Amino acid sequence: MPALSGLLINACLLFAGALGIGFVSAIAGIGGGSLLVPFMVLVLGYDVKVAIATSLVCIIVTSASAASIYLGRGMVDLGTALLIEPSTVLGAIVGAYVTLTLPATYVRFALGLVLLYISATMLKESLIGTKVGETSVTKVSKSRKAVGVSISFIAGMFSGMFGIGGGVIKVPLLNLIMGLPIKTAVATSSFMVGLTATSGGVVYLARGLTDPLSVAVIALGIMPGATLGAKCLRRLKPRIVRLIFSLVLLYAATRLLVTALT
Amino acid sequence: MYREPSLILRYGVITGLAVSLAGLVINEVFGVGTVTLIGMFIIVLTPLTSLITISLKLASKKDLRKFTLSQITIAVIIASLIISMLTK
Repeated sequence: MPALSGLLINACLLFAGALGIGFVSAIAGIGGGSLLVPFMVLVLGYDVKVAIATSLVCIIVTSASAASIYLGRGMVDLGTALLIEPSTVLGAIVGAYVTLTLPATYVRFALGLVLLYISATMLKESLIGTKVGETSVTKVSKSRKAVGVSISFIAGMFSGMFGIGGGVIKVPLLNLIMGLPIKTAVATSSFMVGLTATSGGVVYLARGLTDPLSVAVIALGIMPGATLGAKCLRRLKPRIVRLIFSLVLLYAATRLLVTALT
Repeated sequence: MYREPSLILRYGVITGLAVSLAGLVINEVFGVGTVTLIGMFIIVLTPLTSLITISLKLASKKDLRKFTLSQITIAVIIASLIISMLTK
């Protein structure tokens, strides 16, 4: 009986956390993976590899609804997505195997560093604005395409290693290097995130690291949370939310680094 | 234009989630975890199924460049699936 009540408390906490993450993610305009993994590890005490594996499957669930809308409306630039996706997928598989090979402490430390980078980028964007713009480049040179393919490999590797969607790298990559307008970049990234998470997720799923109950609870929490966030978008200032989000992420990154070092 | 892949993406994950939830109940009552695993695989393989549908559409439109790129992505994902199953 105590085990069952513990499971219920854990599920309730996970649901509440997922609801909040979905709400904030929708307003901040980024995927929930970067906040979900530290939440599962630091607050609920999950093993870092189980949290990463579970997060990847949750990313597929949450990105699919947005990607299906973008795909149906013809907003996804399939030419660009299919050009850089093979290297992203390859990166995700390599990343997943790197995480499986590394000891959990090293993974926590590396995750802390990545979250530190994401939070610093978001903090900079919310304080002094962003370079990402509406304008697009009409002709993309072959060397830029090569750079895009290389960076997308790294984005995929981060996704597979740390259970994040990688949109924080993919959107600026598609916008600034591959020359897509920002809305097309967001739609294309959303479509790519699911495919990248699939390739990484399969590696973890085959090893039994994915927690199905957590996936179900998180998915059921994130979806209404994101819908609520999208509805509140007009009333709240996205810049302020991004600032709060980046500070929470900064705190999570610091705690991950400290717990990995001590 | 891509209505079918879009529908697969939307309803694939919902189906996977429903199967997983049913599987969790079955696991609790009968101690069988296979249904949950099937649900997880449905979720994970939904984007791949959507991409295969896109690939077929590209083939029917005779867009050779995009079709080839989609085939490469499909091949890499399927290869990773096979390798993961063989090396677990």
